[in-house]
Amino acid sequence: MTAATLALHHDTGTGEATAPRTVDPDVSTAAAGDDRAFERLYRLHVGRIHALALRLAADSDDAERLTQDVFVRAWERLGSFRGDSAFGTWLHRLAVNLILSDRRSAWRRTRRVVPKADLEEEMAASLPVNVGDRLDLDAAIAMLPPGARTVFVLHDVEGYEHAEIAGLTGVAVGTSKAQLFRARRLLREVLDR
Amino acid sequence: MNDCRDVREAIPSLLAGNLGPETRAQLDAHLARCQACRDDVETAIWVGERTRALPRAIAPARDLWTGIAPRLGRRTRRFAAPWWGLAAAAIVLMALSSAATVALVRRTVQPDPGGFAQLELGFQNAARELGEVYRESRGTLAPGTRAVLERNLEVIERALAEARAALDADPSNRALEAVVVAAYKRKIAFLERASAFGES
Repeated sequence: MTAATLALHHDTGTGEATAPRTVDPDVSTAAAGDDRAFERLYRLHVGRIHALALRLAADSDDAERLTQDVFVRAWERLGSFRGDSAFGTWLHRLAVNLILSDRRSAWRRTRRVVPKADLEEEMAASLPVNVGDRLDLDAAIAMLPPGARTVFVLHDVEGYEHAEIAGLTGVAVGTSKAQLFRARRLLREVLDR
Repeated sequence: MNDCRDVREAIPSLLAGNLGPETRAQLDAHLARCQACRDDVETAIWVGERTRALPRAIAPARDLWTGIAPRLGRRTRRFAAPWWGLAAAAIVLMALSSAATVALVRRTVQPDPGGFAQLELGFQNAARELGEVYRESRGTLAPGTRAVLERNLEVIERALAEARAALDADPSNRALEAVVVAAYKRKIAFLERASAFGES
């Protein structure tokens, strides 16, 4: 697949145009309403989005549903994609926002019936034993408490800064840092058994 | 670096290998006397090594596209050629086509040099207006689509230019007038369709 240079210019707010950005032709074709081009984009990016959803949601059914929701939302919003960032970056950010919003709702529902402390005890009791390879690290991540898991996945796996995570999740930067250390400790305790 | 908080702040730089020698020496001095920070650093390194080995992409167990495709509704385009522009162009095209037919039929009976010039002016105006509509919509077209359309338009314009040049060389040739009219009609019909791409 070759990339084409489109006349997508960044609006600097001064009426001046910057250099055109190279954009995947499938992005502009999909933005024009071509669902076959959008399917090609889906095939290209689905693994990355599904991995993110799987790690943040810690449930394969939820991850599949969220992955589908992300691509439907991307289709709906593709008209607003201006090429200011790479399509993959734009899609990833959209996915993080959608998944976190969904998880917040889910956690609120769960906490109504299961107290937070019980969730952590449940996690500690269900952690895998004698694990060591990468698949087991994913299994261990899935069993972290939701707050620690979110921060760990966004920071250590996806490379977000604490300030960004704070903005995305609504927690303080200090809380994000504390959750990260907690997540790492829990993971090591489990994986190093 | 005496504060455990400073050590925690320095861990990302430590992992990235970005600590200067002086800061690194301060960090090592702190770690030598602080078991808690030593544990944090070791844990960060231990977990970081395993995290880097995680796959960035994990394919879903089934094809999720089948659940996505039916949910893709028609999206509003950023640009659509104004309906009134296309409607007006269509009316102009119909009028010009009728006028051209009448004029060409009449000219087979009686020459009317001013009539063809007037007819051609009408075609030129219609082509210019439709060309403006197309230029406004072309930014919304995929590069591949745009390239195909514009290559086709070049062919049509070249044919028109050749027909017009032939008519200039032989102004009394009624058959060449018909060829020029047909070329204009082709160009206008093409521009009309190309402009409609912007709203399909």
